[in-house]
Amino acid sequence: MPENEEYKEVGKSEFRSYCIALCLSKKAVLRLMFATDERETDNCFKIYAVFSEQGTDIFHIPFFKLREDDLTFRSITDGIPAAHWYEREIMDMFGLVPKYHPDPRRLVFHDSFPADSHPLRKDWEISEKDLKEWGEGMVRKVPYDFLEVEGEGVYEIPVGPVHAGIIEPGHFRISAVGETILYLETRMFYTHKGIEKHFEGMSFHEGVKLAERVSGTSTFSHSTAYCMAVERMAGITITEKAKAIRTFLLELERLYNHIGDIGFLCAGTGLTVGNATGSKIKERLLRLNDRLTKSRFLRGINTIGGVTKDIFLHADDISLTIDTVAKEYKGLMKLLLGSVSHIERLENAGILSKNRALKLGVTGIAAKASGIDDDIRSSHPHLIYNKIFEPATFTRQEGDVFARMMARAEETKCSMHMIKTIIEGQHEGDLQVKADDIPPNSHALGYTETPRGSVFYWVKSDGEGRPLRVKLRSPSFCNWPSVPFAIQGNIVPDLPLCNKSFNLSYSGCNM
Amino acid sequence: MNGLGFLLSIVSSLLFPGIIAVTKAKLSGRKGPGIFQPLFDAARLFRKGSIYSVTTSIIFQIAPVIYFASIVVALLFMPFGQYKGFLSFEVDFVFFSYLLAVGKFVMIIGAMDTGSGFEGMGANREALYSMLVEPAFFILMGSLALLTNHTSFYSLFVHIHFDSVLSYLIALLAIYLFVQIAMVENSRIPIDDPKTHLELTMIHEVMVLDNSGFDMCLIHLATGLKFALYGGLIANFIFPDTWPLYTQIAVFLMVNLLFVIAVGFLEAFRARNKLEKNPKWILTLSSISMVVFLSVLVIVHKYFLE
Repeated sequence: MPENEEYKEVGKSEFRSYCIALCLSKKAVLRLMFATDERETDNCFKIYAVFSEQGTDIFHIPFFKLREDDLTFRSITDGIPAAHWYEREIMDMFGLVPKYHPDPRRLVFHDSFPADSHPLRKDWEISEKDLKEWGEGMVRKVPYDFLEVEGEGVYEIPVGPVHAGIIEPGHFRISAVGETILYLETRMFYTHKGIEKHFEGMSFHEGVKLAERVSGTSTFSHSTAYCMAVERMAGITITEKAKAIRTFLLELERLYNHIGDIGFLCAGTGLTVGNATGSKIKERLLRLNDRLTKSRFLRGINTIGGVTKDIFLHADDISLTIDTVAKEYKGLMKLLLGSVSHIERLENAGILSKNRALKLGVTGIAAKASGIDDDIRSSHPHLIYNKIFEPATFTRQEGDVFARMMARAEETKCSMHMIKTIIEGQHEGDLQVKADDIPPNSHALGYTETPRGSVFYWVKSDGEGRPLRVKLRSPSFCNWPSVPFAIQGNIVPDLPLCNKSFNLSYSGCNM
Repeated sequence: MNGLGFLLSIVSSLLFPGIIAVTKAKLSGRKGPGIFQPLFDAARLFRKGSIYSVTTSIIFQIAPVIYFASIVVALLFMPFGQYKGFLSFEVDFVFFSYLLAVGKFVMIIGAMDTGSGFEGMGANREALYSMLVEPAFFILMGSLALLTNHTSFYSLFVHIHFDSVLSYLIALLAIYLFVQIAMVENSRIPIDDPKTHLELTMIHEVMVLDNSGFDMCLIHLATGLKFALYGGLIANFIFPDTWPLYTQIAVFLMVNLLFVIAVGFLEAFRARNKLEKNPKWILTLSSISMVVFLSVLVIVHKYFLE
């Protein structure tokens, strides 16, 4: 078991107070909460919560057992609001009911999904008959009530789930008076892919491909976090060279995402030239990705035990492209920061306060823009980040759209610097180490920083060394609940801009 | 020859949307569509039938036709140098302005007729901005009428003479105002963004979400015509009627071309206003009109410098 994970079993009744004490005394942040079905071995369900301590590289992981005679537990959401989606997800997927949860509606499942069907239970089956009835929407429908805002002049605008752009579905229910938004409710999970269940039917090695496909814009971060979890579980140490290549590609992924996002904000404000320039630079980087890895989205590189290609063979191409990108990017930022009309739109729009961001466990860009120094690369160093990553002090306080753009800009600068450092350095070792033996009955955590925030994988193997449970948490999953808070009080036409500034992935959320 | 202004405007209107699109594409480093693409689109839409939602009534079906017709009729007032438009009478600019308003009005009720939340939202935004931009246009035209002592487009433009520093100021401001009023009336940046794909941010585009086929074709053509209206007014404003006819035609087309390229530039390098800032921004146009008005007062020695 990796040394920075501290598991501790607590009683079912003490779990809540234990977690709250952890948050208060150690300033720990809830990163992940999930359940496992271990009825075959331990005759119980287990619920784990992963907290990361600020300042030290330690994950506190309290867990408790749930016997089948009482499948309810005391919700911790009232003490730790960041847990609210995790608990609802556990309720849907395992049928373990959080008592006193402030919002006990279903989260993942939509109305037509059978009421007492819990797919992540090991004995879950769905028959042909079920499927047929389910398709016809006949069985045990569970209605979902949107919160209604009442009052004179209040009207609802439903947006989505099918959007005007080529993006995945998500529903927004806006309650507005005039142009001012009073309340926004989001409904996600229209295209839930059941990825965690899929993992259970694969071997750990095959799982890499699935992890790469969770979210299109952060494929490499996902596969890195997944491989890292499996490698930590199996006690495999990858070579310095593999570590360097992974770090390099993570930063390259961050670079193309951030520059693309900064340019894409211009589509929200109608600044044509900025939008086109951003897309142009992003395309340049995607083509570099393609030349390096034969995949524009960096797929097919990660494997358990290392990487498959030595991208440092293309060092000249990389430095040349990065230099061009750096130059064009500088021009883009000059254009954007010089455009009063653009900056005016971004400032004071979509403010997410620090307090709310902290409570909701917001991660990544959104957290940094609200004054929280949340970066798993510095708080829990992995790969070669401890050597090249300069703990950034670039958090901003405003929490508005502009702050999120600038947080991206600062990370971009930092990524370019790191890419240069890695290219210039010497990295010894093979590409891969042998990784055939996955130990049975063990578990570990894998994590890294995607362009949007931290991603976590927790894997556990069964008695034969196959996946018993793979839990993944993308940054979008923990950031989506914060979007409605940032939108409140803004005007209706600014919603897309605010939403874009978070740039969350529907796919990463609907995993 | 009275229809010369009308004919030239129709010709240039067909090319306007294409030129704007090409300008924007070139500025942002894209290849962009051809200049004639909007015309091909219009031709394609023209051949298609319209589809009407069952919740709409006759209002929705006739709205695009009335809208289109109102703009064509407004174009009939377009003078050209020493030639009048097809129609011309005293204070015809008031009639002109309200013709456009009629077109806008039917589009607004047509949008509300669909019963869609989005279209209603767009309609009330559009109504607000059209209302706010009206004073700017009338104060400007009123000032010009005061300056020349004439009140029809034709005689107004024929009798404008630029001979003093103040009158150059008036000319500059008036051109600026015509351009910006054209932007507001056509729902372009900074008021609206015709390129956006997001219903929530749209103003004009969201009003025509339900229109299709032939109706959509009329709406597209109307966009070009509306630009041509303002382009024509600006051109008339600039060249004197004493120039030879061919030079005038060349200048007219050049001014129109410059006008649309300017629109392309403005759109490429400017972000949209925050929606709540739009009313203020439009009212600024009225205050610039007031500057024109005061300058005119000075020139005609009505109240000052006696």
